[in-house]
Amino acid sequence: MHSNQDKAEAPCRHMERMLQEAASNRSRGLVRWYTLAHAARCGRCGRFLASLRAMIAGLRSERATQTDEAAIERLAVRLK
Amino acid sequence: MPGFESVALAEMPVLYRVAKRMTLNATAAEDLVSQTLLKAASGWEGFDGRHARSWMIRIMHNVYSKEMSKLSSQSQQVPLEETTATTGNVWQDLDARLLSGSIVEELDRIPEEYRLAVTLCDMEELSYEEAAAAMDVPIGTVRSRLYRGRQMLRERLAGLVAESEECANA
Repeated sequence: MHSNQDKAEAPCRHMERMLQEAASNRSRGLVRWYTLAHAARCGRCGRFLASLRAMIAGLRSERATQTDEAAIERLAVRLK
Repeated sequence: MPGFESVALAEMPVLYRVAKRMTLNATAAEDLVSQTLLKAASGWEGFDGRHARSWMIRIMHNVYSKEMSKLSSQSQQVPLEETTATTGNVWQDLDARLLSGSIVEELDRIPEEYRLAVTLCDMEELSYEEAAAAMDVPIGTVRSRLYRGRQMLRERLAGLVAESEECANA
């Protein structure tokens, strides 16, 4: 559910999909250039892109903490 | 094609992490990976060798879905709550929160289909093609679930920031 602040912080409608792709480095070429150039000039889109990037970086950094080495050892023993 | 055991050993950490996001429980995740490996071992002969990770995650998702349909009345799914209104630029304070581990707690609170898309594409960095094969859905569905899942997570994190601001101002 969007709060008023979230609505205010929503990106330009036509940019959202491109920003989502750029945030995880999945866009390429002209589309990527256009997206980043727009985000650099547009405050709302710039903040939206920054927030997605921070979130994705946070998820990736948590990957190591989510691996339980003892559990992996037990599974490996069962496999053999 | 490499043998089943070497592929299974290599994929085990990913399978375990994805299982944990599916089941929201470490013990259940271990059991789920165990069942998945049993099924994968018996199906290894018929596997075409493409995207072993996706193939195993798909097996795991099928095992999990069957278990869940048996236990549907006891589902552990946490319902979505409305986020509270926020003040200021909520993303200024976000970095420290992400590091504190609350991002995974909040990820675990979004519905399973969206959580899985975010886990596979953002946390485990699978390509759309691999995630689509793992979830057994078209690539367009992966994209839409990923975008929606990110949006839900973003709103939940924004709600956390707002709550801490309210506490600080009280």
